[in-house]
Amino acid sequence: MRDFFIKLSQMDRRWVFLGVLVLTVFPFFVPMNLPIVTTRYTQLVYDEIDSIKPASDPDSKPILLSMDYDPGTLAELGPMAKAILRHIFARKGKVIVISFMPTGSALAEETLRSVAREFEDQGIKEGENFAFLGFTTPAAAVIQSIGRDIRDNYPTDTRKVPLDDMPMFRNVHNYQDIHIVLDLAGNNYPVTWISNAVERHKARFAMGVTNVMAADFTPYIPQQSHGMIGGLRGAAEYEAMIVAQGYYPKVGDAVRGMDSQSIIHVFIIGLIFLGNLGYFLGRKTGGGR
Amino acid sequence: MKRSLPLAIALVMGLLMIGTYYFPWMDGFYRLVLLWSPVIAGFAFFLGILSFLMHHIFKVRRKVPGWGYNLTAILSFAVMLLVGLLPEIYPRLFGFLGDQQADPDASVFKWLFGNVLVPMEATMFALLAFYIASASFRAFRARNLEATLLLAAAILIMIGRVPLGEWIFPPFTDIQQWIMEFPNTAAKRAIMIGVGLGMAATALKLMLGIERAWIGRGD
Repeated sequence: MRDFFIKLSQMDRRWVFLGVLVLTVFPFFVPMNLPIVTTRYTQLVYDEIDSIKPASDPDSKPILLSMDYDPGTLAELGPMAKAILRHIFARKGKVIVISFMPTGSALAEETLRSVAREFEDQGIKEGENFAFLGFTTPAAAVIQSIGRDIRDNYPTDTRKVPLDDMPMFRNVHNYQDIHIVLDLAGNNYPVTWISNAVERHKARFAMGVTNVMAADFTPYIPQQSHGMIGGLRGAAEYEAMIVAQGYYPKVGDAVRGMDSQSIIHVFIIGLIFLGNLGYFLGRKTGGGR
Repeated sequence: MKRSLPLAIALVMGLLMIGTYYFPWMDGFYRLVLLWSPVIAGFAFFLGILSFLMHHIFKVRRKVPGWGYNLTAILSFAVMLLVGLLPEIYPRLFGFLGDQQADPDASVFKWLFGNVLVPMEATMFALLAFYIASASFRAFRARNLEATLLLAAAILIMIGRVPLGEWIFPPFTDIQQWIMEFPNTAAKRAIMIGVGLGMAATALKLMLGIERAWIGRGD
């Protein structure tokens, strides 16, 4: 028995790869429908967005959504962006989308326009409810310049329409005219936002980050960041909440992806246990690695 | 002169930028610098492209092992540049492709981006899952107390971050949240304060010309 476990703990890594592949794909065919419980940080972001006023309200302020992710982190942050945009549009709010990633700008635009099309019949219009200002660099300077006037670095949107010609930019100049800045990032940009917008211009800020980065950004909550959506789990929580509140009819990719993530996490824990079992049994016989 | 001029610019600009933080009457200068930044970043892009091309052309000309990959990089760059720029500059000449701006489905650039770059980059990132699983199986050992604590924290976070963990044992979610909020935050803040002080010290060294590696060698 001991030899069996020692051998198992030294199995070829290709078996591990096969296990990961099979267990990732399997839940897409057999959904587990596990309940998603909302965590506090996601709830904080949800409450912030839920408090926006419709664009028709004279006191309505837009949300500034910075979509700073690339195809590598699209699987986690894409569903998050869609869920947030659906929430904003369902509340008939206003959103300004920007990106500091050269390879993220196209993803951001595609996500924004595809979600906006879903809400076209509810009166969601470009220039009134949403605007895409595109890619600009360098992030730190642009973030600071928005503290002066957003028009300094973004005189027009990507269609070359001046900001002053769009109703949603009426009385919108700097962070004081923005409901909250929300950064969806697969990198360190939330820190750039905190240093340059929160600390220098007193902007209200929240973020959505990948799962592995959540630990890095937890220290900023709640003083500098009003909340955080952490990885695919956070996106799944958000999707579940907008469905539960009747803002959207069905859950999306994040909730579906949580089944795969659940199984893979348990699989990896099992592998760690197996590896350690072999290590301890082998150590007793002098062969542990 | 080649060394003293950049050092003088770094000192003057550093002092002025610190000044903008404390003196409201320097707002005009602050605003001007913010407008300069995207222009400077544009030059950085140009330098990046130049460096990229020089690196790959050098390898292709010398036919170093694997030069085919370098050639692929140059050709990919050229194709993306051409399909991105030409239809914008000569919309009539490339009218047969459709309206590149208004119709996203007609854009060759966007098609290549969505069907080549996005899947390739996503594939590279997805490979991590396989390697992390393999690495944790082969290397994550409870060899001593520190490693055991790390292992325990990692397992609690991993299981607490997924719905299956909560289904197995509901308090797992609260335990992972506690680890993230308290021990993790305490350690991270200590590191961040250290890094912050280090950054301030490095900035001072740059401004005062003590740290000169950034200007390279030369007279």
